[in-house]
Amino acid sequence: MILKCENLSYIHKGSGNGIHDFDAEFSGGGIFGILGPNGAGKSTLIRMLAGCVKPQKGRVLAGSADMFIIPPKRRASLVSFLPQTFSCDFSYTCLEAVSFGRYASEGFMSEAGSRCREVLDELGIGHLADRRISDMSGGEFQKAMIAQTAVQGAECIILDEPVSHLDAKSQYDIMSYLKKQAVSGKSVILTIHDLSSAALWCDRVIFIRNGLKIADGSVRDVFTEENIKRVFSIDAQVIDYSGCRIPVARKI
Amino acid sequence: MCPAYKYYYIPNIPESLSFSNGECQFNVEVLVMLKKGMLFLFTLCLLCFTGICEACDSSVCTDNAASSDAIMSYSGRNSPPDYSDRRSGAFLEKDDDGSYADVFFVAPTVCTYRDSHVMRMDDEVVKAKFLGSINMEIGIYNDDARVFAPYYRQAALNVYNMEPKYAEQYLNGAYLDVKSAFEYYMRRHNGGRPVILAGFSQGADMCIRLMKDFCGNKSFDSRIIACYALGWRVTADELSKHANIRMAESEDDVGTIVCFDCESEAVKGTIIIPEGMKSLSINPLTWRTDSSYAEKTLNRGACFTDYSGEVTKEVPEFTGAYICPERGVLKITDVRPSEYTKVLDILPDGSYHVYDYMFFYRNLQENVAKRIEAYKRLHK
Repeated sequence: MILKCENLSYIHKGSGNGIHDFDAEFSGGGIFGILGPNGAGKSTLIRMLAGCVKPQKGRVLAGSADMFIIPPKRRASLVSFLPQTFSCDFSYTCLEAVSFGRYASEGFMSEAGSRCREVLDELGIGHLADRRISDMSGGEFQKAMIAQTAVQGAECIILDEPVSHLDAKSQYDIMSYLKKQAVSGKSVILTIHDLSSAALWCDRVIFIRNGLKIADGSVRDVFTEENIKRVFSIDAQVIDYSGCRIPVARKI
Repeated sequence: MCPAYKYYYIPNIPESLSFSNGECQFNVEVLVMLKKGMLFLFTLCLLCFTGICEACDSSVCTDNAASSDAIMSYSGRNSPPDYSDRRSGAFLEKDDDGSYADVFFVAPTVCTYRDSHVMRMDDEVVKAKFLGSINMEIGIYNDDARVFAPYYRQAALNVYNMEPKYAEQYLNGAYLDVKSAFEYYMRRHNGGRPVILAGFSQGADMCIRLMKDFCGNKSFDSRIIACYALGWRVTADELSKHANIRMAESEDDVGTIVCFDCESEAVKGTIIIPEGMKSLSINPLTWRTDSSYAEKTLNRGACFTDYSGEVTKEVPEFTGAYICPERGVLKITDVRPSEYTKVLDILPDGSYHVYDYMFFYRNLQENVAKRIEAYKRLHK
């Protein structure tokens, strides 16, 4: 499936932040990173891509269908979204929480159990399947939510800052899991703040600032000192490490 | 003509306002106060429903994702109700008042929070709306029945805009409370009496879930008169996965689900029955499940009620209706959307969801009596 946005615009009342006339296309598997400073419009963009926020102008196409006229269950088979924040009032077990990811296709706690356990194992928290989410750490809970997003089985996985606030090991576990998803042909679109992580894991990156697309392409093409200065207002040196272009902030 | 409602003992009224005269456990003064207050609250509720989405930024209204003030977490801030505590019941009638059956009623969505997704059990304003919403509808069911209606951590209106996997976490959570309340009711209050399950909108969804869980249990099957799940849907796929539940196909089949949702002829999809989905409905004018058109002369009276349960307007022969063969929804033929507006922004123009039971109030009232009689005949 090709996820395409055309002339996408959304301006928040009050702050004036948002996205202006944004065009992009995502297809063919891979991790697509959206980067920019706070308030650049990353979350607004990603929520429009996921069909959560209706654009004020332009449209998002999943294949040939407008995202906003696709019925929810069908949309759930195309796009699975993990928001930046989520707070649950009910203390489900980890396995129950993950099973909700299968709700649109199978209904809660159907035969989805075995698939959910597999994904929990892949994320290294299979042993926590029966633990209450109220008793899980932030990193464990985030992995459970990643599992929930993955078991939905959508062709495109969209995540808003999936590894912010996590320790290095949890970040690594989650990003390597998402990489496997991308290699298997899924399009993984995410916002991310850590430039080094983006350089390591992303197949394509988009820089945005003040709601405008500044650069779009491979890490090698986009991670230039000029672009980083322009978007993040920092002086950085980009070094080659093991075939990756890693930006490093210069000493003041 | 039957009264639209009767008053009940409402156990959560503050002690200082209530008294018992030995036979009648409700407080007349309080009820008068409630009637006056409920009119205000009903107006307030409608304003909340209509105003909240207009007032808020569209990024909130169209937000399908979960959003909250916390990073991935379990909030743990809303404890489950304790149904052994009488204050957890909006309606909880005396153990024996001589009536034949019980109604276990599940209230519709009244919670319109902007900042969270679950009704808080200590929110007295929402609880008053909750009670009012039950009063508005309960007159259909309570002619010869005791009423039990639990408070529950219902999903807020904004949940219906969420992606299914997030919405279901809240709706399933709400159901865990309703199920717990129902099990407590069956254990503590039912005493072998026949029971009607009834609910509207989210409440109907909850009742259908109860049917899925309990049908097939001999004790439950022998006691269930019918499940009135108005303003929701049941699909053929659901029916195939739950072999023990049956949809009503006539006016007096017992142990079945009565289900329909109303809209104008132009509507193609709603959050209740999205485009491409088909629900299994029954026409409350004919009690048939085919698509034949029922004239409005069959309509025994639409009743428009307020938060006290008072019928503020009654219109005999209000509208005809037929079941849409493609979507299974009940198409209303003699009402203009401009006169009966959608009220809720999450619904399309032409949806009559909020009037589902009002448009067919008297027909439903008669049908409840008929199904009780049918149950009596079956269980002589």
